[in-house]
Amino acid sequence: MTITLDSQTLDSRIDLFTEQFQQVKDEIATVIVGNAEIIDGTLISLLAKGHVLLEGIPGIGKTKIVATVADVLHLAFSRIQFTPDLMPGDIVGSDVVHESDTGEKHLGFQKGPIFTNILLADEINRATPKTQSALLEAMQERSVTVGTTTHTLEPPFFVLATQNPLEMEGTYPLPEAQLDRFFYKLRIKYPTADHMHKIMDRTTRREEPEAKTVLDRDQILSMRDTARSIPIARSVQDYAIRLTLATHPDTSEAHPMTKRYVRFGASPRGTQTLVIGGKINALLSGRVHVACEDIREHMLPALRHRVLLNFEGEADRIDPDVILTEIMNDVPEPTE
Amino acid sequence: MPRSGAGGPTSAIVRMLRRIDRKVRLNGFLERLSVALCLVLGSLLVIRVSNLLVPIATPPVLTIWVAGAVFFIGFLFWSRLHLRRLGHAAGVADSHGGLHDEMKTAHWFMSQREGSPWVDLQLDRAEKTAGRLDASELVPVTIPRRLWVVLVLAATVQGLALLPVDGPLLNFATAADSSSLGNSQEERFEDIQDILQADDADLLTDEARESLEAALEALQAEDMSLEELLRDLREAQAELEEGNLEVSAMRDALDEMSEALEGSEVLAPLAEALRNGDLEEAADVMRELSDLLSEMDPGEASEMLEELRSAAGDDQAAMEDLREALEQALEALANNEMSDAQQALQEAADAMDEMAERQSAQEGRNEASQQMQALQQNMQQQQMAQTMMQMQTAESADESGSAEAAMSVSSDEVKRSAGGESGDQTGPPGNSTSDPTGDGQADLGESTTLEVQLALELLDKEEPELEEEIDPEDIFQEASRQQTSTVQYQNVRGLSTYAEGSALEVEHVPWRFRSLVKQYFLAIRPKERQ
Repeated sequence: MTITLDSQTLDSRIDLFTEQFQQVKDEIATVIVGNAEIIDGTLISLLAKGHVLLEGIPGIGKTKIVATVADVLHLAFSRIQFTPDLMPGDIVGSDVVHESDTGEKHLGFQKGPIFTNILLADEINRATPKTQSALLEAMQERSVTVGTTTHTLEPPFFVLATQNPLEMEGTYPLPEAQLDRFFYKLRIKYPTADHMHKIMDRTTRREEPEAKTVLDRDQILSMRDTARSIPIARSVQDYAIRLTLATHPDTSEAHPMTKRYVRFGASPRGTQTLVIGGKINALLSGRVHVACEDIREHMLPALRHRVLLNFEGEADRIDPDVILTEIMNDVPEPTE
Repeated sequence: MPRSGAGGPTSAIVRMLRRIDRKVRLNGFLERLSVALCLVLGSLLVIRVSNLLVPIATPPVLTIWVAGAVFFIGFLFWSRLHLRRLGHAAGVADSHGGLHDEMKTAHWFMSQREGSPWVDLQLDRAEKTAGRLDASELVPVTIPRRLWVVLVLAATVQGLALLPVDGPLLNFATAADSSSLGNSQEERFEDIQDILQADDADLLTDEARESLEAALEALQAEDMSLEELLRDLREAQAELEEGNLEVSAMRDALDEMSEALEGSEVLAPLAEALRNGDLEEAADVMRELSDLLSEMDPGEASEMLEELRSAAGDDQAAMEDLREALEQALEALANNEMSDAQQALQEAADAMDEMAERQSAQEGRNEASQQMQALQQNMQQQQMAQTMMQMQTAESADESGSAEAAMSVSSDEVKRSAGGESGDQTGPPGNSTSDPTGDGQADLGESTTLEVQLALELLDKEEPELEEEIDPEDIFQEASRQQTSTVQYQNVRGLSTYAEGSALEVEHVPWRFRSLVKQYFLAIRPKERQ
């Protein structure tokens, strides 16, 4: 009987997870037109304790998406506009002199904008590598060390960084170590004509639509816990590992395209992304087990920024998505 | 502890997976059975068809069947070794039922000791799914299409077994090879056998018979080259034509005899028979004269015999027996021994019969000789075709470098064809049409002439390279020197053209760099005025 009760409880948690996820999506859709994949990817990253790198040309709503997500989730939101003269202290904060009412002066830590739940790092590739690296510890460890003091960031901590793929002048490409810390790299496409009509309709009137808050912090943390509870069979996990190894040019599992065009493949973080993303995908499909198709479904955003091309790949302008698609097509699913 | 115990919550999943596993194994068995039958029947068909087409040595039918049965049983035994596990059945259920890896996941967690409420939930859901599944619908028993091929193969093998065929239907042509007799070997064998069997009257000389029989044996043993067969045929032909000279001398003597007897009234029928070459008729006439001899008066008889004796001549070796018989008849008549004279005249008629037989025998030999001549010409044409094919192959193999090799090959062939085995021919190859063995036999030089012509053509192609090269500058400026040029100054190209030509044509520039050199000179060439 215990199992039955537990099963009912778990079934209700799954239903709640799916329902809440759908509520957030619907609310965001009241402001954002289209971009369903981007919204799904952003929410999955949030629920997987990851961070998202949004890439797209200017003016297609990158910042708007992030701001809307923050509005819907009722979380603390900060925005940092990355510029070449931005310093690490501008992000994490610094010790400053405080003067009390009695005139006493003492050093105190002034928190930077990173102490928030949702951080929008706008045009992250415009800051110098030194400043970019200020995000490294925060993104991975969820803590900030200033001087000898380590300050823990309050969960959930979710970084949404944007970058413009067109402008190369005055930009600093993100180092591989930092790229690897992003759960997904999402590419925002230019809207279609139908979507453009809807955007015009919504944004050229007197009153623009506003998203309402539908989820609070505790609900998000509960969803995170549910997502990680989903079991995965060894064969499916093995499939995710084989997909990852196929991106490594020096392994026996390497795909022919990998051997030709790839310098470094995805790290174990990439496999973690595949598995956790697969779990959330399974939950959203109403299942309590991960299928191979769940792994495949989000392989492109999970691994495209983790596959580093070699000279030949750069010279031939090979898109990592092409290599990953070939790997997906050629690596067989487990038969048992 | 694993969760797959009997009667447990996962027993329904296990039962369903076992049912699917049985279906999968049955389908696999049928598939492998069809493959094994195809292989066995296909092998039998290949052996049977090969046996019908070409004369190959095949093992006894029983051996083939036993080997096929052993292979088949071994194949089935090997296929039984590939027993599937339930995990594979779970994979089949997932893929056929569109279950999104639910059964694979359940099967994995069933074998794990540790669990969680989420795992139990997954197994609970998988059990419900398994209860809904129908194994027969999920994995239906399918008859492989290959079994139709098996039926067709079996019917074909059976049909071929019933087909009444005496021997191989085909004689595959072998590659052109001057050292082997090739595909017409059997035809030649039959031709020579015909010549030997046609020798009813024992016309062939012992030497000719020996040569032909040796050639037949060598052909049967397939260790004779075309040249050796030709040599044996020429020797046998020479043996056959050896008697022509004697028969020709005999014919001349008989003609002279006929002319000498034309004036005699009594001997006119004999003269006419001799003139017509009908020696048997002439022998009959002489026997009639022998019978009439007793009725003649001695003087008339003696005069007739004397006339016959003088007509037979004195120095013709072929008429020796006839001459002796006539002299005996004259001598007996002089001794008034009429019966002896008649007997001697009968012997003269017998000598005439013998000459008739000798003439007839030689005519038969000449016919056999003509057959051999035709056979030799046929073989020489094939040899020539093979030689030309070799030359073409050599030319196409290496256009530049192997031209000389092809010349050498053709020259060797020309020498071999023209000089035969001895190779001591000293005159121009194309003029040699006689047998190099020195027998002065029939013309054999047609193929040689063609080959020599080909060789000369190849030589002609090389001749222009030996000519003295002309300076291109001279060609362009010769007209100007002679003040006969009508070309405008502006249209005359710069000197770089000559340098370009010099670099490309005179100096050795590898082909792969020629376009580069040309592009260089085109680039530095002065622009022509408009």
